[in-house]
Amino acid sequence: MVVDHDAVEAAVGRVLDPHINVPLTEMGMLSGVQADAEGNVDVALVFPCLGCPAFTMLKENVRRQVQRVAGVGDVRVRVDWEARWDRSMMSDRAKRYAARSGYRI
Amino acid sequence: MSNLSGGTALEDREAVETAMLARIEAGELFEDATELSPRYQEILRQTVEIASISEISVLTWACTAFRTAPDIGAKIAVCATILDEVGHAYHQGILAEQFGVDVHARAFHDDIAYIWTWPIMEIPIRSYIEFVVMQSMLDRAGLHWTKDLELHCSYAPYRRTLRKVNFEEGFHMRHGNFWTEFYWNHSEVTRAAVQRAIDWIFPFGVMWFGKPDNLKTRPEQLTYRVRGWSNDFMREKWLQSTCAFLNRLGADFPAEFDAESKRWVLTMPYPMLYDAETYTWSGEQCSHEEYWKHSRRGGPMRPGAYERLRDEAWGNALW
Repeated sequence: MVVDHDAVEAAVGRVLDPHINVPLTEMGMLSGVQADAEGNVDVALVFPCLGCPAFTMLKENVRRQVQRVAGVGDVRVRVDWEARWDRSMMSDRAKRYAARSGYRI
Repeated sequence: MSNLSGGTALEDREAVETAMLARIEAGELFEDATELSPRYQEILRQTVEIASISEISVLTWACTAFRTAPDIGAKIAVCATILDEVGHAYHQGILAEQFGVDVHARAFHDDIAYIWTWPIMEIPIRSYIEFVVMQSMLDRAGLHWTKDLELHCSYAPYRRTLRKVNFEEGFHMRHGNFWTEFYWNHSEVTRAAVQRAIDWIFPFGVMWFGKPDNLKTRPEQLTYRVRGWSNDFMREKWLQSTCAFLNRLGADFPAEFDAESKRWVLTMPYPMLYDAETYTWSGEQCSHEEYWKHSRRGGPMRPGAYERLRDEAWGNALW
């Protein structure tokens, strides 16, 4: 069974940034998704903060959500150290939410 | 003695007080501390000082959890908590200086006997599981406490200061919720550890908001609208929120759902005394006076935790 990339992205979108409370996809934190023929999925995340105190929590949360997608075998969630997060990757809504908390993006 | 307008100094002070209370009643916010009456300034000073000291007392307390954090991510999370709390103490310390507090002397020189904090923060954290359960329950309590100030305080600079504080406290609570649930579902051993932590910490959450409203002798925080929520109101909000979370988890906790009022109601003796050495509660009701007298004795980390904040543990040789 071929894993549906959109379904995997939607699963990542069900995980919220624990500070701003918007989906990781709206924070621009989903760097890439790859799935092989056996349904094993590799999810790469890019973090706005290199010393993020939520590294482990978010990786585990994403793993759990993606694991529920039909046809998915093993899930690997990793930090993409090659990518660089940029504030332009945030959605307008995420920027508004951040602004509400006093963070001007 | 009469002043230029023919009234006494006392009458003048009362007139200033009355005018200020009328502005507060009308929902006005104050930007300048000099607009506040001396009594209001004193209430703010007490509130800000207690808040900043409690933030400071988290530092050495959270350090006790660091050694038990199971991986690098967990250790970073503990460090981030400590760093956040330093920031919260610093911001509120700046405000305290506006009201005449010598923060440097308070932090480094004054006899530590003046320090009062929530009693659990002077009792070492025994495990990372206990740390995350505390985040879930007590950062939730702290968030209610500071959110009230951000939403309602009539002194606008304090509101703004607490925006950052609450942003980060919200993260601490969510971090605690996530890992509490994770360890609850991880294995029988970790589930038992989570339950033990809940048994120990839950009553401290109940006590977090101070005396019941009917025993409060000085309700000035509400009069001057430093706060908008009373102790009982905040305790109730915390109780409903915490119980809903624990119930979803499937954990045991000392409250039951009352179908008629559709709210969680405490079933534990309230208040009761704790034993800081054995990490247990007496299970027998005592008076609020007894409880607060007991808590003022402090925990096993006193005075070492505060002395540690003033010392360089590596010694002068490091420099």
